[in-house]
Amino acid sequence: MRLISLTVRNYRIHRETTVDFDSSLNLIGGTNETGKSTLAEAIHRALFFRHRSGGDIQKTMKSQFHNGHPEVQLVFEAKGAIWTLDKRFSGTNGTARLSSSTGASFQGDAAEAELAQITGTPEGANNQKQLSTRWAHLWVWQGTAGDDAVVHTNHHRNELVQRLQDSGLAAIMQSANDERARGKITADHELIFTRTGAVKANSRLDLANRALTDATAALAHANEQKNRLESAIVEQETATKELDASVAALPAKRAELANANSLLLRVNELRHQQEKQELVVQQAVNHRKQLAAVDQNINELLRKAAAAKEALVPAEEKLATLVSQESHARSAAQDAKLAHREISRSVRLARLHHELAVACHSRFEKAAIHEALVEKTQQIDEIHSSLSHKREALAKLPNISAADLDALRKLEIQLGQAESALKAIAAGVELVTSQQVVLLNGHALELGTPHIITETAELSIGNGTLLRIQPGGGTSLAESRRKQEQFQQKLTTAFDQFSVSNLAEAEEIVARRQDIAQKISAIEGQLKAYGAHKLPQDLAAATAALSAAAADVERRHAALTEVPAPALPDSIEAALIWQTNSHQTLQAEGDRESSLQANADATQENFQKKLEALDVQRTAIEADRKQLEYFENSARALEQSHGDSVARAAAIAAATAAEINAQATLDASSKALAELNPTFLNQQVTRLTRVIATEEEKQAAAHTRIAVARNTLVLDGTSDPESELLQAKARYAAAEEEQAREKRRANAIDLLQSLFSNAQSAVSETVTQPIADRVGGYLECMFGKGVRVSVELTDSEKSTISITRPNAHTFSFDSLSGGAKEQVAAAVRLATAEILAADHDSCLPILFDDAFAYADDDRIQSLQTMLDLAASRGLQIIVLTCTPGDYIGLGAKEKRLHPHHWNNNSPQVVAQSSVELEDAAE
Amino acid sequence: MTTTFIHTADWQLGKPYQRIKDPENRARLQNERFDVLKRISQAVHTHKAQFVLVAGDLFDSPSPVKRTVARACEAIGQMKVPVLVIPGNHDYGGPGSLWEQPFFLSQREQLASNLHVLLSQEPFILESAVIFPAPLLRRHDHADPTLWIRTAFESPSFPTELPGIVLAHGSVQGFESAQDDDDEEAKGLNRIDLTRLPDSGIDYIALGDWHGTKQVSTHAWYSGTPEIDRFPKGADNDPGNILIVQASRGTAPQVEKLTTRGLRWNQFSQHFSEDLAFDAFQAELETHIGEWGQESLLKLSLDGSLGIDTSQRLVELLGGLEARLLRVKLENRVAIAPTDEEIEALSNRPNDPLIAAVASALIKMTKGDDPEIARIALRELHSAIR
Repeated sequence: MRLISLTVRNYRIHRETTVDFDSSLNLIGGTNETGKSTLAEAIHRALFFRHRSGGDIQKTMKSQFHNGHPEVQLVFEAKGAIWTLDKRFSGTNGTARLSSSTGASFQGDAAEAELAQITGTPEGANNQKQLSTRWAHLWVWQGTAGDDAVVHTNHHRNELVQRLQDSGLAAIMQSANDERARGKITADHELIFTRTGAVKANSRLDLANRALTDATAALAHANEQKNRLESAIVEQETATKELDASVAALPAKRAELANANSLLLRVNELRHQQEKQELVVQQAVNHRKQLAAVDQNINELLRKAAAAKEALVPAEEKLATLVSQESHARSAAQDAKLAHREISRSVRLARLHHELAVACHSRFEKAAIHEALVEKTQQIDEIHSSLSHKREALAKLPNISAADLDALRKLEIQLGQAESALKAIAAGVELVTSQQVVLLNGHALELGTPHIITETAELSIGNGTLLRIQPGGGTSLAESRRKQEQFQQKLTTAFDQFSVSNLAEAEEIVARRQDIAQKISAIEGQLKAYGAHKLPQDLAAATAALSAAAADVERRHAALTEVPAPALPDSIEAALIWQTNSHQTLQAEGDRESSLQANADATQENFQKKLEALDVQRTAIEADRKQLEYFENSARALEQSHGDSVARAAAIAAATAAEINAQATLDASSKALAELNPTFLNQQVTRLTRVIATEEEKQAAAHTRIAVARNTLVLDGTSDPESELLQAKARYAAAEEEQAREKRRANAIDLLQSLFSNAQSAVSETVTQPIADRVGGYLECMFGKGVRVSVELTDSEKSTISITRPNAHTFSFDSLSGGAKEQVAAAVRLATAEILAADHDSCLPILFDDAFAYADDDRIQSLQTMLDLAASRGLQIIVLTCTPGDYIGLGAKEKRLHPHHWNNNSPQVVAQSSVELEDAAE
Repeated sequence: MTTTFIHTADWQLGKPYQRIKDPENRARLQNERFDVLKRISQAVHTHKAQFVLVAGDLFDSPSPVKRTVARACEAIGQMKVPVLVIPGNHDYGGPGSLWEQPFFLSQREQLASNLHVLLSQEPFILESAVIFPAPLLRRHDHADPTLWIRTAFESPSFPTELPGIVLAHGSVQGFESAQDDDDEEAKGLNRIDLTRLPDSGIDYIALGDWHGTKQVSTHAWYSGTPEIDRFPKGADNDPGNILIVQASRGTAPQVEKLTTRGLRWNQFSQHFSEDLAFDAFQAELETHIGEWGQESLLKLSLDGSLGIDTSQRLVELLGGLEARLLRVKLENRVAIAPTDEEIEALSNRPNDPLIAAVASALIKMTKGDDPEIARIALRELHSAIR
């Protein structure tokens, strides 16, 4: 196939653009936004995009600037004819027409079908995914130049293989048989394994594996069931054996226990006896000790009695001495007492004399006092007489006091004032002259005597004339008259009281009373000064004292009867002398009496002491005697009850023998007890009791175990564990065998799959070698002579191209730089296209849209060589670039697109002239 | 006095036949073990047997299901005469054993009043004989269960004029009760020493455990199982019978073997050395099975090698047999060995390079250390290209 011309209308930026292609080398240049890539796309869409498709792909083709649907007309040469393809992309209304120079013409789907036939691809694509696979190895879209071209080549592997076989390039190719066999093995493999090689769920192997797992579990379960029964049997047997053994052993243990218990009873009996015997021994010992103690007691008492008797002798000697001493002391004390009594009498006499002397002297003193008092009494009697006279005079005068006088004076003044007040208010009547009798209130008026009328008064003058006088002043007059009358009455009463007739008289009496009173007072003062008031008492007292003193003298004198009475003194002076002398005598006698008194006291005291000592000694001796008596009595009493010393010795001997006997009995019991070994017996009883309890527990446990085992052994009869186990084993064996068989088969299938894969790889290699050789031819332009390329076609999307340069190691596509990738990819595309071109009249267009972005100048040069080589081998090369200057060396037919200038106001117009296509050659 | 009785053993009722996958076939075999009891009943009647001795393993298991117990009691009840049974190693007695289970006891009471399970080591006196049982009270007993019998004769508590019959289960001195494929018992257990039995007074020894009918001494016999339950081992192994015994005091017993088996247990062996022999083998096998396919069990032992195609034919043949017979027990040691023609056909394919390459690799591997997988792979490949 070879492109001849392309026309696009209303396609994005293009209003209408036509490109005529050179048969081998084409260069379409233009800066960005000039629509280069759109032209590349338009050819591809015309060839592969279904004309009635809509969607995003169709929308993006539409122009924003030009009316009308996108249209593409492609003229190309194929199958020995010139074809004109017209497609209008207007969604479901889209049209397609394909007509050939031989007269064939196709419309719509028929055109698509024919087109698919020509291009060797499936019928028109209607989505991006499909589009991207159509001649992807021939269309190097902008930005994809570095992609691994082998991947695209894979899509055409079958064609490649076919081509190579047809051309006899490959010696061994897989056949339809191979394909079928491999397909079957692959299908089998897929039934068994997943992509990752794991066993597929529900595959026969998986089912066998699972069946084996199930059978294993079932076998384990059956084994367990069977073992459970067998364990129960063993358990029952074991438990029964243990039970039997225990049952057999128990009676002996019980007998042992009974024996031990009976021995323990004997032990208790012996212990009881032992207690009693110990008591007997104790009693015997006590009895013996008692007898010995009594004997010892008696001997002790006797010894003490002897000692007491011996001790009494010196005590009695001492007593005798004390008796004698006491007697002497007693007489000495009596002598002293007599001497003292003698001097006491003497002293008394002296005192009597002295007291008489004193009494005499006192009598003289009392007589003198009495005489003085008699004289004074006479004087006072005279004064008292004078005073009585004065008092009589005073008593004859009215008893008016100064205060009484003042009251009288006051009353007289008040009366005067009341009379004056009455006169002032009352009417006055004074009979000055009258011939007739003038009566006032029946009382005749005297001439010249004024009357005061203080109340209604009838004044009758003569006969027939009666005047009623009514003084003025109303009640005041009556009041004044009443007061005047009161004061008058009081004054009169006062005067009557004091028996005076007037005030002057009263004043005189008061003056006389004051005078007499003064004189009386003077006399009373005098009397007081003499002490007259107590004189009589003093005199009486003095008289009595005198009498007493005389009596005292008398009595004392008379008392002195034992000796001749002394002559009494006759004067006070003689009395005083006597008093002094007698006093001295008394003092001397007193001193002697004191001395003798002391002596008497001392001898008395001595006597008392001796007497006390004697009493003490007597008491002591008495106690000792009683002690002695007690010892002797006690010993005697004990001997009476316990016999004499011989009898007592016999009794002690008997008691000792009894004690020895009792002890022997006790010892025998103790020995018997020790032989029985009670501690051991008790331990044995404890042990045996424990053993029996343990055995009984064991028996109970064994019974339980037997019951449990029996319970397990009682079957419900719905299944037979033995049979189940056998079946489980058989099923397991079958499952195991089945699993092994499936496993073997799976391994065989896997082996086959892998062998097929290897074999196919070997075949693929024969397919790819021609490609590799051609790629190598292109790459020599780049890497120089001797470069070797290997390409592997696989089912995967992974690149398997590798390059070996002369004298260098092999490197893979992925490890190449961006520029090298572009160039190697281009080489692969060219090589593939070269081979595939055989199906397309030995020519295919191959299109590079700005495909060598990473290429530097040198590489561009080698690329141009490579492209030129491809063109020389029959390919139609179309290069679209924004740097056409770089490709001068290619010698291609160049079309240049220019940027478009349009007027915003009328895009329509601008659009019409938007594309200027120049023939660069022009 | 002479007594006639039937000596049988190893009924193994309730045997699961676990290796038989088809449940119908399994049931058929299980039922056959009950069917044979009817034939024994018939023999009791025919031979006027006075009693039946079952020398152990009446049941296959110490814990049979109710259905088995009930059917057994019913079948025994039909025999009318006393049926004396001792427990064997399969249905051993002892505490909690099936013989003590309430269900068994009630079934016996209802259905088989003539059934006597002898669990004690003491003489069991019948009208015409004294039975000296040697019951197994555990699966494995190291002690000889007949030891007590000699002691019993020292001061007999039984009528000595009656024939004395020992009833025991186990192997006897000098004859190992062979262990077959179903048993996993240890050898040397449950041994019976016939020489220790009393020198006189024992007129017959009825033994069980060995499934073939076999006389082991003048007086001692294994009756074998009345219905075959396994592929017999050994040429003189003769299972599927009962014994009609006439015993009398002081004389040798008269023993008659009566075949009672129902199903056919066949064995066939073949060694393949060339594929051409396969047709002959197939024909011979067909003859062997004859028309009794539905009553036959077959133990097929194959070895040698066959080509891929013939191997496939063998597989198909076996599939047919398995479907047709009650059971095919296969011991297949036949290796797949591609024939020269097959090798040529697989590897020499100029137009199918992949297949040729894979086949060549596999053929090479079949001569290596682990040929089996490669052989299977070859077969798979072979089938894939058909």
